Amino acid sequence: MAGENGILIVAETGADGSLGSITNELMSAAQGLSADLGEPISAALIGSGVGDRAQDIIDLGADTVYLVDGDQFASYLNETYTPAVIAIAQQANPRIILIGHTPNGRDLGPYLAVRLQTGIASDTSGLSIEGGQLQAARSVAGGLFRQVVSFPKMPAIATVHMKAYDGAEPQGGRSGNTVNVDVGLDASSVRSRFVKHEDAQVEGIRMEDATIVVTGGRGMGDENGFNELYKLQALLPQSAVGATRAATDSGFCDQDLMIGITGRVVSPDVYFAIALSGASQHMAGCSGSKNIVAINRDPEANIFSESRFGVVGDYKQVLPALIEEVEKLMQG
Amino acid sequence: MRIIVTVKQVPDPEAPQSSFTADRAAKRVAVAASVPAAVSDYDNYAAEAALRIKDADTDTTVSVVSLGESHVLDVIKRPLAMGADDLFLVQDPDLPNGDPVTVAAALAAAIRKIGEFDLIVSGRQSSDLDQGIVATALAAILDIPVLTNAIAVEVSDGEVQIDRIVDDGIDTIAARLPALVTVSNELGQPRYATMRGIMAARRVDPTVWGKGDLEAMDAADPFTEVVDLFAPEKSSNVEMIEGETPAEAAKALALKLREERLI
Repeated sequence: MAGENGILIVAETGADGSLGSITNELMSAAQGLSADLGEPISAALIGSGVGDRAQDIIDLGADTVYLVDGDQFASYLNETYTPAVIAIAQQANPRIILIGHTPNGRDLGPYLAVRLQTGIASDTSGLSIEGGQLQAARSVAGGLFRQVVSFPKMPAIATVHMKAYDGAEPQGGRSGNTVNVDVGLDASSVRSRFVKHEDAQVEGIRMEDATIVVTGGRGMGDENGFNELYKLQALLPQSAVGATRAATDSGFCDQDLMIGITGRVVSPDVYFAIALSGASQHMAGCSGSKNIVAINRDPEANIFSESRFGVVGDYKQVLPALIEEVEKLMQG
Repeated sequence: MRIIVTVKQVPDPEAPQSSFTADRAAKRVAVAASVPAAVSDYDNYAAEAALRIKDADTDTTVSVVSLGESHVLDVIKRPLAMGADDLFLVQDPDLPNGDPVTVAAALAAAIRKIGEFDLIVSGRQSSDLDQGIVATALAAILDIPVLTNAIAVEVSDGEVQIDRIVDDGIDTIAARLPALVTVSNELGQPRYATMRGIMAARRVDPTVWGKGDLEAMDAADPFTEVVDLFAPEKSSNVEMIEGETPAEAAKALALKLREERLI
């Protein structure tokens, strides 16, 4: 196809039908590219009964929302969402497609790239325009290096690291178009099926929404050691407990607490990094934190170079004293 | 049934960070000769998922395919030592760090040459490039359904079913075979190689294919190009909080955090 123009973002909605925060982040990334290119932003909105979200996306900065709405799209499935995005891309004919590097976005992107016979870069965190085309920077070797990727073919597809961009704020009353797109999906061609969804059992607030995250690593030693983190967390408002992959793989806590390149991505105001080395695979999930506070007995641990405040010492001695002092301050 | 496991050989990611440097001219990571090779982390979980299916149905054959350069046989045979049956090596010095969709096309050509299969199992992403593209692109090229990031995998009645972690919980999805599944570490620890397995793996002669053996390997136009690779500059502005004892330091830290209005 010729005449490619503009940026298409793939919006995501949660189980409750609300827009996922990644949509705001993609819009923010798209706005920078749109300003450089002087080209419009459009959005793909796919789901069942999600039409009301179109205006929300327009308020975030989209000029056009392409809507695929139907029972077939109630839950994400690669085999239904890929043709939906293809149908939208055929109408929008974008230069660039941005997708969240979320569980579903990671699943969608490569399949889409093959179907559109174009290139994809994943987990990108620095998007720019060079010579009128997209360039995407991403981390490799667990964050030791940055790789910059260019795209000889259009549309260029990038999945965007969660929290790499501050989310765009809605501007009430913006105007834009909503275009209904018919995918024409033949149900008999779909070889996969959605079986069920189970909500995560969340006690307290979601880690991604917490303003303080208390995270423990391999150095917590065992489950009992790890549970000490909850004593600090319980004293702090809007807080949650997280873990490194070493801690979850060692069985100190639920797998669901894992923060890192293949786990959850958080960017709280304060990130307590306790008895963890700060391996780059972990930092990929927390480097957006405003203030990292490290406690580690190894003064050479990488986590200190990433932190704002650090204490060298065994957490078994530091943490109880910290809990005691924080308790006093909170009561004071 | 026949399961194919895709395996990538990578430089051991646990090697000291100083053994990895940016070769800016070649636009790739240069690895010190002292760094041993390893099976990419998640591919061990892929092998484990396949072998669990074989445990339940002993009529299953698990074949391993790896694309790369200078395979170290003792390393790449690890899935065989865990219990896989045979090994296909595709050797091409140019492809492994190339465009992921081009790599997937080469793997697809190799898998077509291997023959009939019911299920392909791959790791969710490699431990060196962390792209997570090749396996899903492979499924697209082979035109089979893909189920990604599995934490549990089951096969029954010509269908594969997985659980996968999504943003707000766990989805269960299923696909008719043949299909491709990518596996995440939440599946559970991969089994160790047994002595018997290691001996059996030694006796396996891999089938080795070169560039000329597979039609799709001369992909002329890559879909992406790496234009730069560099080590980002890091600046640290950490303030170390000290005290006579660890407890004193902890107290000073709490006061500091309050002073900065962080707690």
